[in-house]
Amino acid sequence: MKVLATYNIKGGVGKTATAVNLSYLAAREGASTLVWDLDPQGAASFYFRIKPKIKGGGKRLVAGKRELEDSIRGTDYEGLDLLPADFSYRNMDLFLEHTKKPERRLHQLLEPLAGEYDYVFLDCPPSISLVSENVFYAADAVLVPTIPTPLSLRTFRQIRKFLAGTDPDSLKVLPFFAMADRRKQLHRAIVDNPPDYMTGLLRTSIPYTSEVERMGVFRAPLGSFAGRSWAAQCYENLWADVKQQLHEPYGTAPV
Amino acid sequence: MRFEFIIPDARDNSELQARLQHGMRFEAEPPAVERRTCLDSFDWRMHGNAAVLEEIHDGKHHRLVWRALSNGARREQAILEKAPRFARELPPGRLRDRLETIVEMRELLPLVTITSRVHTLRVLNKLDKTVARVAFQENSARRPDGGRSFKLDRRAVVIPVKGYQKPCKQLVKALKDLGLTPADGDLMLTALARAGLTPGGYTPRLNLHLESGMRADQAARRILLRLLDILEANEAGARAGTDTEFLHDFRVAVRRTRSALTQIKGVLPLRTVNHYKTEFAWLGQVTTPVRDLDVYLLNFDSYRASLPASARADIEPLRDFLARHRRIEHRAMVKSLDSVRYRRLLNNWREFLRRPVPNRSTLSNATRPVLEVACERIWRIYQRALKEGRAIGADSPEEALHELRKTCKKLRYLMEFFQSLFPPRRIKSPIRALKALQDNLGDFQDCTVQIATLKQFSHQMVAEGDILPDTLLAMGMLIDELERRQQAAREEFADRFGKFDSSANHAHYQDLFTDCIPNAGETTA
Repeated sequence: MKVLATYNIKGGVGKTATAVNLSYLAAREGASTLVWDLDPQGAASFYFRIKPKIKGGGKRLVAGKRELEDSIRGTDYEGLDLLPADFSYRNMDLFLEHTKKPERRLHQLLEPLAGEYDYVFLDCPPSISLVSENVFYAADAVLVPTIPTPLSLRTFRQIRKFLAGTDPDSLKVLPFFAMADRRKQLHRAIVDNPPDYMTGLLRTSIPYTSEVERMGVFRAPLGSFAGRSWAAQCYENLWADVKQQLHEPYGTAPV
Repeated sequence: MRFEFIIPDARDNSELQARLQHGMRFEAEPPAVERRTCLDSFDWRMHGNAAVLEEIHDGKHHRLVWRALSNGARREQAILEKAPRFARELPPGRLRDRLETIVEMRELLPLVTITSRVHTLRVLNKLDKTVARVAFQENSARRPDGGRSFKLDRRAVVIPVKGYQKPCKQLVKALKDLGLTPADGDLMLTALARAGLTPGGYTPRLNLHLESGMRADQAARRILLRLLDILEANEAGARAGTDTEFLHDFRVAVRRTRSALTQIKGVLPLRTVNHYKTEFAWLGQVTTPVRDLDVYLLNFDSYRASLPASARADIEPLRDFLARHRRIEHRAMVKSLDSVRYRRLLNNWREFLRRPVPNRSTLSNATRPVLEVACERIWRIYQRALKEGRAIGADSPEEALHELRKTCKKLRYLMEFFQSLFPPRRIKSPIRALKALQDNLGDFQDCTVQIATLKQFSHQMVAEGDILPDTLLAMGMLIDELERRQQAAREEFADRFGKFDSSANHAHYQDLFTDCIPNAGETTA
């Protein structure tokens, strides 16, 4: 089982779209896949038309009083399941603090699922917190969608810095450019000449297109309603990049 | 969990679908044609594990699906370019891991293909989310090697979506209310039966049922006839040569036949025994080179992995050498199997075994009850194994271990031949103790043989003139590794034999095998 997190401190950069589209592609290839919507806003749950509600709330789930398995819902797509969000996740840090090894709790909760899923996508809320520390501990790779603007690059540097302190050796940090707008000179310049500190940068950039936004209208992954669109093609390329990175030793990503 | 219902021929799909739509919201998926081919090994390993392996083609993808036989629940799946012939051809993943542990090196044979025309209805909730599916199938099947297709039941299959039990229950109830009867078995099993295949129909196990009062010569013939059946069942596969286990099972049947001929003494005419002993020894011989090379090729990846990373690529020419020689040896073996000698051996042997036993016999054991003869022989060989084993010390030559290995094999075969004469629970433990010892002796012997043949291969490769020094070095490292393993097996021997020679194990043997022999049981331990 490979655990992939879509993460950024910034909101609105395409974390959920990435988790939803890549998990859809993984399942379409036959991999048994789970998305855990960790964001109390419940956007991933919304995309899959599943109520953002956990029976008993997040507290019981984190405490281990309720099996993860019982809260999992099948999506409309074969092989793709979702563990929905719950509004109580806004207090996730508090729930985690009450457990034994607080920064390893998510990892522990996911362990029993190893026999069942090939991929688990963790769709993270935008913040740096105990939840993010848990995510870094549990994940094999963190996908960081980054808008090609100076402010976003600065955020990425902050993430790197933060990870340098906590980063387990095996964690792969895989940034990629998202919402890249070829019409903007600044975007083009950054995408074409990414800064040196973006090691592990994935080859594929996700363009800024209206199709991605229409996912919210269709409430479905891009591949299911606009499979031939350019954006869908980009997600397919991105997924191929990610898979390649997962099977390669860290530090060999093309820059 | 899937729920399947049989749709009677008289019922119309659209009528059923129309009546089903009361009270639930549905959306129809475009009609589809799905082809499912059941794959299993020749010895039915998937079926033996209560599982079905299907290669499903829906016009777009080939999927390989592993599901439970009991309830159809999907366990694993993978999307593929084409159906695999071996588990090792699959992309890395859980499906491959699980398949490799069960099917191992056996070929996955396509057995029967079901073609289904499917109309699927999705049950939607208020958010237009799919919460259950029901598939209406028109089914037919045929054997992949040709033949006419035949019709199967029409079925309605309820496919649940995880976390949404209610709509699934509603569907099941609605289908029952429509008068459909639940299907009582997996459609694939029906298809296999209709195609004339019996799951589990072949097993390399003896599975004999002998009665203790039966005449020993009659029992011997039953055993030998069963071995001949196993041998013949594996011949075609051994000739084809893609799945190495056919030849393996073929050779085990030959070895067991030779063992039965010589170890069940005084039941068959001496002249017959001597003749067939020679003939089956010949059959063993002509199949040995291919099997030896098969063993190397099967183990090659683990050999390679035992080398330091820098030397791994250097060993590859050995693989090519082995594969090339296997092709040559396989052709030679097929020639032997095409020979008059082989045909005559099998025909005459079967004819002899089928002949009724004479009413009276001058042979010492022929008319005695089989239980007596079995106990006598097992006890005698057991005593021999103990004697040989106890004589082995730290400085005994390799041959001593080899001799003990052969004796243990004879003992094991005898116990397996006559297993059905003893209470199943009580014979398990002596067999287990023996097996642990055999594994150790087997490891030791395998290493010994492999070291010797590797040396021989290196000479051969040099003589054939296309070997690089690095390959020779890598082969040297491999020999080192094998010597290490050989040494480890040797060091473990005393412990394993000690367990076999324990008083507890001795008591088991004594209980089982001396009751029916006069004056036995006082000799050892």
